Amino acid sequence: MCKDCGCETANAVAVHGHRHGHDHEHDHEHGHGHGHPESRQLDLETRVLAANDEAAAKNRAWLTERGIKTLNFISSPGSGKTHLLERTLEMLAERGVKVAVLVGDQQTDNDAKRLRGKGAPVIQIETGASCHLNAQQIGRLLPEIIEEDTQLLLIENIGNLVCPAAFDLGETAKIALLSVCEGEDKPVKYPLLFHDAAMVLLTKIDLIPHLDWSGEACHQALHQVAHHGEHLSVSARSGEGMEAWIDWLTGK
Amino acid sequence: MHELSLAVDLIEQITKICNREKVTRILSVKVSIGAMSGVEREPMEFAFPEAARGTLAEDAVFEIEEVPLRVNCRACGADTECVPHLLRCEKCLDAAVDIISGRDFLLTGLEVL
Repeated sequence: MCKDCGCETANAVAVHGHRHGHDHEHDHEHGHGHGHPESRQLDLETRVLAANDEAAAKNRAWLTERGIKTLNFISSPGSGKTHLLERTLEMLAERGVKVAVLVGDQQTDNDAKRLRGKGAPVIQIETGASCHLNAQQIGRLLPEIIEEDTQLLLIENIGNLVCPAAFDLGETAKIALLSVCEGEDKPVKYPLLFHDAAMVLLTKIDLIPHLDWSGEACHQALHQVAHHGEHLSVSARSGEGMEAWIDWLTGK
Repeated sequence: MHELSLAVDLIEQITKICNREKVTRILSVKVSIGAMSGVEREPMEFAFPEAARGTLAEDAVFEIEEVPLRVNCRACGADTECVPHLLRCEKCLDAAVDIISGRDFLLTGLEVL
């Protein structure tokens, strides 16, 4: 309870030493105003992403209630998200796992077309100018995409290592992809995503013979930003590592 | 650049608060940006006036406080400051650390009439 006004709270944030659920505030005198003697100061501590966080929490509760595991796939454009998901959907269908897919891009439904016909319902989200998916976009589509027997929801985010990492969608876990042609030090250049990802997939490993790729340097970069993270090496093209990935996906 | 959509969210929050508080003018808006919040100062400074145009916050001074990244070490227990691309305890250099601050992007204050 707030000691100043006695309000009871939910979804609290700390404001000067006590907890607040709504962003109410208390007036304070202060000595560095912006030129008006009658101005008052509202002290706040409100997350700017509160609206997205709230929608994400709703999505998470809705999905958890139905026992659905949700994975948010984030990577740079061209790292192989769609190809990985194509193979993943085929392999999950073989194992009898019921999957649903939401796929985001700024323009076109090219990715949805690639992912359809593999046993899972797929909806494309076109975000226009926006560089990330947000929780409200996902929430609107959940009743449509999730069927009674859905076990797994895979969300392919917009190809971008920066913005999608800042928006919680209500997922169980974030999966980061890093293709071996991008360079070993991507994790230290984009630490937010690689820190938060429960799994980092090193993709396109069939190309390693053609590159100066150092697995050791990459693992060191990953360790620098995520001591706790797991990683697997895969090639959707050759199939190498894919069984281990599907085991991980279905095991947790 | 997701800062523009964040600036729009920020203005929406400010507008709600100001309606409730019967504010007639906003003199300043204060936010804090954590070093690992995924938000950058420069694009935010660019985006804020765009989002504020035509609102009560249009002429407000926009103040950004940068909050460093702080971690707690699981090995030695120390709280130290570090950079996002090298998450480790600066005391014992162990990598097994938990982030204790520097993740948030917060609206921290409004000076209003």
